[in-house]
Amino acid sequence: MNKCKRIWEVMKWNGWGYSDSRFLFNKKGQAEFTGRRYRLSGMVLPSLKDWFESTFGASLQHKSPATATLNASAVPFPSLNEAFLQDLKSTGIPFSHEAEDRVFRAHGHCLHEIFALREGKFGRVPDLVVWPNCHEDVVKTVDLACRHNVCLIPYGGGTSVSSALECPPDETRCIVSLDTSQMSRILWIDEKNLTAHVEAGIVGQDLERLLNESGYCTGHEPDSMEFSSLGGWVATRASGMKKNVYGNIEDLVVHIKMVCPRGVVEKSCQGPRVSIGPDIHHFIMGSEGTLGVVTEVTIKIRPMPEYQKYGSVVFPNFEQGVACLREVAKQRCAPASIRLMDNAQFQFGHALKPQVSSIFTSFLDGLKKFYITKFKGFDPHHLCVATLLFEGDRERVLQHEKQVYDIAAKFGGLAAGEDNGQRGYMLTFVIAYLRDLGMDYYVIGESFETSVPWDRVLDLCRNVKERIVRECRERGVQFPPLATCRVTQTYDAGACVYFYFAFNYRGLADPVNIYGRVEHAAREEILANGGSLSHHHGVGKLRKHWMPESISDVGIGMLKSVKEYVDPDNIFGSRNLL
Amino acid sequence: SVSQSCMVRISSLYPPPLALASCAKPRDPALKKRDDFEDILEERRSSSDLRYALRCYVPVVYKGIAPCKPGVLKTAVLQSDRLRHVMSKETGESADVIREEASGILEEMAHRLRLGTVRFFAYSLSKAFKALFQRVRVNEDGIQRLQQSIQEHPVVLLPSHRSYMDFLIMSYILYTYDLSLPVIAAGMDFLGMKIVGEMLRMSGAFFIRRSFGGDKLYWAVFSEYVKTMLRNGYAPIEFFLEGTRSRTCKSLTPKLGLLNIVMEPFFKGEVFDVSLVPISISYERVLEEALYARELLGVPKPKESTSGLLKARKILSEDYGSIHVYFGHPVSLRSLAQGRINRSQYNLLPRHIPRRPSQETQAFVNETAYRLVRLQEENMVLRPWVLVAALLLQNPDGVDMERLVEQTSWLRGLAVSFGAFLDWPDYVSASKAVASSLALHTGLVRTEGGRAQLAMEPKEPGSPEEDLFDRAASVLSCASYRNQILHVFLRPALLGMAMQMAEASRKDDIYSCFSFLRDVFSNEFILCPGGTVQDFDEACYMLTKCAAVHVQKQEVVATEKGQRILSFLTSLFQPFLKGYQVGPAPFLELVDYPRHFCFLGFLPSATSELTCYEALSSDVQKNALAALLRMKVVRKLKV
Repeated sequence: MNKCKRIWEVMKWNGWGYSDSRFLFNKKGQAEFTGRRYRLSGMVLPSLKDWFESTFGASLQHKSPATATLNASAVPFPSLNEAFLQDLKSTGIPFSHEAEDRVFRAHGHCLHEIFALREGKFGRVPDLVVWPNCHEDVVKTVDLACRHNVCLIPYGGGTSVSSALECPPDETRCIVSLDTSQMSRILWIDEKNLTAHVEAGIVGQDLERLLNESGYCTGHEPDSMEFSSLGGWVATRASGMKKNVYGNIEDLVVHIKMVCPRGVVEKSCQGPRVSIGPDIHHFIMGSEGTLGVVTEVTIKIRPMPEYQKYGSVVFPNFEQGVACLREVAKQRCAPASIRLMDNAQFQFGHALKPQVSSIFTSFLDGLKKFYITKFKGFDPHHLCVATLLFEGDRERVLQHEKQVYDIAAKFGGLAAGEDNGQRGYMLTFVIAYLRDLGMDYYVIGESFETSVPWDRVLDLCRNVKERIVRECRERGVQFPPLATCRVTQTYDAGACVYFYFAFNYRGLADPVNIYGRVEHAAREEILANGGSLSHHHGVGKLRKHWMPESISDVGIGMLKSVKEYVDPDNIFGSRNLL
Repeated sequence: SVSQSCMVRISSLYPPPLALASCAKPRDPALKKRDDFEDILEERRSSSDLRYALRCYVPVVYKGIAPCKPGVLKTAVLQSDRLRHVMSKETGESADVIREEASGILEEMAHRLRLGTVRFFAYSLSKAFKALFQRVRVNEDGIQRLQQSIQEHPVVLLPSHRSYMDFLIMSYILYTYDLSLPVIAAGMDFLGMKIVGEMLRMSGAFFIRRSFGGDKLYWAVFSEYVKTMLRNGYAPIEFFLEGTRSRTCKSLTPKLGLLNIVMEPFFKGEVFDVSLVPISISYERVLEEALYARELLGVPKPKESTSGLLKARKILSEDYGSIHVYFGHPVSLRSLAQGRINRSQYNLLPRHIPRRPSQETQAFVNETAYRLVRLQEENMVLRPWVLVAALLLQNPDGVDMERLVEQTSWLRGLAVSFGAFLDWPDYVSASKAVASSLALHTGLVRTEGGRAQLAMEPKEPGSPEEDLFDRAASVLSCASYRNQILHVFLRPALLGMAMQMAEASRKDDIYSCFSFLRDVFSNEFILCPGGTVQDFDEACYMLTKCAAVHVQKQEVVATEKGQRILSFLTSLFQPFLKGYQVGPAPFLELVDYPRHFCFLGFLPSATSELTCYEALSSDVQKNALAALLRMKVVRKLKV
């Protein structure tokens, strides 16, 4: 059941996700999603084209296609450490220095990374990929790396959006990508304590599927869960959509085993909470591959929920919506997931409605729209939608649902059906595919996130969006950008806000550079408005510029001293974070 | 190398402000492009005032937000986090008592803008303006820019303040152009005028006590009231940076209180940006002309009263020439603050809890205030008469008409090359300009036998004190016109004086004298703290451009041709030097006696003789005293 090492045969080498799944505009000019993996697969999306053209000023006539195949001869030749290679061979751990393998592990999914791949450009890529099969293999690999002074970059699912996987261009040592994908077994399940001990290379969807077979789940569902790995979640402090029920990764892990140049670090017991000095798990979580490789994790599991129900609420405006989410958080009655999309994102979601199968549904849709806009007087250019997901036993879900809808009603919210809710969540899985479609037509974009105290949410959302618009205008972007946000998580003291930002780059000489500057400005705006540097994407190299101001110089010193002790020769040389 | 290191030190003391540093090479003031004017009275003279006052008025508003009812605004302020915080902090009294008090303060303060009252003013001001003024000229491009700004961001209108007419004119113009009517910060003294005060309130004025030092509740209510209006963008907020009417017609150093308040919502992220709009209102003749001179000589300002206003009706029979109103380019607070203010400093304290602004913020607000006042100055329209007045004051014994015309023409060239905004079209000859200037100001000048002279002889001889008073009053009246052009010549003149003072051509010495003079006069003129290097460069640039000096690496040398310019400049500012040379008053004690002060003639025991009427101006005296105290040359004694 081990995953294929030649993963690039089923997945795109220069875009998101599976090779068989992608958006395209068919001969009739209608958008279509290919493949058979998703609910949306094989469907036609009649309104996407109009939305796409009117939002971005894009046109199906103006194409910017990607380089079709990977030109292996353009990939820099590997510079190998022969002594290391020699010793590695003797351990029997599989490895490769084929161009395809190396290129696939040289990047995450930042815009600039994908843009370069589409143009067939390659920077510094790892010189070698190794596939350890278990914890012991990792210990051997790290040991050899230390002995021969080789740079290691751990690789999990490759879904990073922080430039964390980028090889430092000036690294002169041999760079080895340590791919954990073969370490994907569930080693044991402890039903008494509801924990599972799992190898860190397992990807989210496999973990859930395998646990489901035994009637359990972790409930940890980051948007990237199809591809991202358990080890990656730990290394970046990941957050899952249903954290309100299951918690974020820091709430879920019970035990972590990590291999460092200095040795293996782990706790000696699995007590549910301990008071034994600063928690060493918090050195590991968020270390972003700078200290070692996470090999095994004991994670909490839960019995699979008996009942799931989606839902949605329409609010007259974003302000009311945020006020409602705040109240829900205050009463601590948030459903498994509650997300609030702004108006632009609501319209975007609408554009992704598949072709309706019957006249009756379309009639119903029309009726709903009439009710909300005409009868209830909601302005279609201001209204916004919250999507909900309830989980648990049936009775309690229904009770919970009523409680939340009652609160929503106080803020002018109208229940808008399960269907809208479910479509909202589907969007998160296909959005990354949509970016590839945009890039075929001169549209580039990305998402970024932050967390912010409640009293700042509205100000931050407004200011960041406005900053994006202003920066684009000042930097010569010819078309107004799409700048939209949603509140994706609620906490006692604040919320997580997620932004999408995209624009049509026709007429720009260096779109990626301009994109980067606008994103940089947007991050400055976030920080100036009381937002955090990151809620769950991590820092990587993309955001490390702001680390000192985020955690103070002393804080940086603390992290540095740990790094110095754990990895004095900078074997884990990705140079993330610090 | 000594001088080099000195310059390095100096420049490192004054980090170049980021946004403005781009003009490392001083810009050429003469190249400034300015908009054209339209006379808004023209239409009033040809169509019905009543219809104008009753016409449909639909202003563009900020993000389509309807202006809010005064009652709603009041509730919003009383229920704001800020006020609740203050109430919870004030101990001793119950929350209800404090709320009552806050409500009372708001009642006294709040505007009650009503369209009906505005229409009444539109009607009656049309009549009054047509009687008083030949023209009210407005740059329509500026109006268009303002209209754009109003829709995008909260707007703060910052007019210059020379007359009570200022805010009436502002509202009148905004009404005329269908722009949102502003709410205006006014002094409480207006409330002394029975009906008029309330009328002003209904046309958008809100009233602030002149001083409320330690009253935390008052400050909280006041600042929250202004910020609520700004945050919600209900209406443009208008106030006078100078704080009060300038009696001397030169700009007053800015007051920072309200500017601080309107900037805070931006610093705290409550609004994306704030547009600051400097507006220059220039009068050919200020209505209060005669009053001001008397006030400067110590006659107390008449108390605002309705009957006083009615008596003032007699001014309706006089001709006050034209008014020019120039709406400057809206200044984006966000752009100004870029790289200057770290907004994340507000992240760790709930935003409704007041806090002293950090030093960097204070410096920024101060600098911005100066910059805005300078923008007001730059766009003040100057009539040829101000040149004539400047020349007449330099020739107290009179001057031949022919010579006056020649000098005026010469001065015009110099002023224009220094960037003065002169309302003197090319087709008007110098002799014509001088003649018509003198004609409009017959009260101040006597022309006889081909000579022009300040009218100093009292109409009917009185006691020596009365004569002196009358003479000083006419000098000060005339000076108020000359003062309008001082900002154009200020920097080059300071350089000229510094060159005289340094008695050598070494650039370092001249710079240090320049810096000293700048310091001395920083209460008198608009000289932004910290801008010495820039001002020095600007002065060198301007004087080099007109070939008056030759600036080398280490020396600044006057040219032959430059003598006339330099001597004009130094004598233009002579009255101020003289004004600062008063001996120490009995309540002052000389504590220090720096070398530079010798030049100014501050002698410990000097009983200075009166050589200059302008030294009698209470304004000059007040500024001189403030400067001496600030520079710690003298100390106040408790008498």
